[in-house]
Amino acid sequence: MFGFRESMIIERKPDQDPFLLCTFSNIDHLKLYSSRSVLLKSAYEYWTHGSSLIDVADKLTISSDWRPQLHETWRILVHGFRKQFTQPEKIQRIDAFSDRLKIKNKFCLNNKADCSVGLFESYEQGLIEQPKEVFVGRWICDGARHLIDKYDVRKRYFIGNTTMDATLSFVMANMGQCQPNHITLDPFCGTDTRLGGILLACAELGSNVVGSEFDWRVLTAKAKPTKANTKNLSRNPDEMMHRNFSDYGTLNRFLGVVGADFAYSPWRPTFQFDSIVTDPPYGIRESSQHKSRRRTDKADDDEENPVAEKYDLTNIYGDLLNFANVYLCVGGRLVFWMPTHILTYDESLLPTHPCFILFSNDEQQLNRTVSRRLLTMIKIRESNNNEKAQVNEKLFSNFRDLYFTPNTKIWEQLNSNNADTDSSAVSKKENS
Amino acid sequence: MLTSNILKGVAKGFPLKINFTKVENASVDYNRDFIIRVMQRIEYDALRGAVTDLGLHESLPETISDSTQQNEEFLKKMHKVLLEYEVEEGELVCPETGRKFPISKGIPNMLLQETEVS
Repeated sequence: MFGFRESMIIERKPDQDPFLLCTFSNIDHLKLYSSRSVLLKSAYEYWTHGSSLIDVADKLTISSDWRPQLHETWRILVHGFRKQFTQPEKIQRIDAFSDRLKIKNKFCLNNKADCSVGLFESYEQGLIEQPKEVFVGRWICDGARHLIDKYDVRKRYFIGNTTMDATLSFVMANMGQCQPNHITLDPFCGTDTRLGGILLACAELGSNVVGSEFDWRVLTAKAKPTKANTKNLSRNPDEMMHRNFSDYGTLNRFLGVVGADFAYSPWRPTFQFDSIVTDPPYGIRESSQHKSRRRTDKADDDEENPVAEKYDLTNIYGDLLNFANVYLCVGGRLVFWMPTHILTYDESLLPTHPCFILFSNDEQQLNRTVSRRLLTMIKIRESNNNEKAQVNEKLFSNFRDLYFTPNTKIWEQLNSNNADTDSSAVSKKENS
Repeated sequence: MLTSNILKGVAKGFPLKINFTKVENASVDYNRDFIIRVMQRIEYDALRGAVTDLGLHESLPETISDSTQQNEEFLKKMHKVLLEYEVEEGELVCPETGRKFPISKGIPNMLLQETEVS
């Protein structure tokens, strides 16, 4: 995205551990990369690694670059993977380490230290006597995990019962390469990520965002607020999206939301978005029917018997691809979730389109039988001849398996990630 | 107002005419690069029409050349028109069918009736 794909070479991928070893040709690239990576805790300049603290300390003597430089104040940060260190244990390691290395530099115990040395002990599951590996290096920068905290759903003023959690929203926005001067669309901004959860992340990363939503109940304040202490406030969804963007300082990039049926797109076909990032309805909880329903501004929609053909959920993915084919610019990304029944899943089930390539397919397992996949597709060319998406027959039966899966709680999980910590789930329990 | 430039009516229905009852004017940070980028995707004539519909006293040139698109004053005007004026209440009217799409609290409702869906 920043134009430096060739700059980063991965030397070693995480393997049941959280360590990624890579080389960047330019340290500024690393910093740029880290500035928006919510899955990256921090980046350290790799010095060496070994099988124990002593081993590593001895190896460090090989190079004079692998220590704090002359006149630098320093400190040691001890991290354990699969082991929690107590404070005394950390101090013991710090002392052993600095003694062995005979480093004379002055200690500085807070983040004003010129050189923060990171000492990482990685353990095997269940074997906490000896570390499997020990890494050491100099701290360069942190990742963007502060964004997760900033956008924590629990802190947000208005949320809905399907608000996408902060981490995943940012992962989606990154997969979509949301960036300044882009325009990103979420065509299902209300159903899945009520009040713009995904769009908030996209806007934070610089994109200008547009949403569309077909459920008029969401758009005209018929749905009840989910957060416990907002129950008594009257609720105007656009004001709420406004308020959310305004609270995060990204109101400038909120272009608006439109009431629209995805099946009957209101966008002029000569306009193209830079990215489409969305979580389409899963069709069980929110009875996703083809929106050829009548819309009234008065009476509660619940009282009406909504008409219309049952809209097979599976079609939505083909429709989404066809939609993206028209409304996404070449090079633009389509990012979306798709639930799958684990046992009968394989990659050939995924919908395809001749103008798109599948860039990534990341699975989030929700329970033993169900997972959902975050799919990123890139449009590689304009269509000549109105080419259409292909949806594999097997996908339909995979979804049918989903419908009959015995665990009904999964639908709540599919629609509101992380039911344990999400306060919207807590409010739901209060309401029911 | 940017959204009104990218919406259409039922079939071809573009450009949509705007009838307004309430227009808001908010201040939005000016981002030159974004405006330049967006200008490449805007239907300029439709935008001029919209500006007239809203009765805004912004005089926009009839045609724009490459040099106009680099002109700072023009870009600032585009910024104002695209991002700072919003129709809070009103309707969008389809030029083909006359069908009116209401705008309420800044949200255009483009949802179709049963009967319009073939």
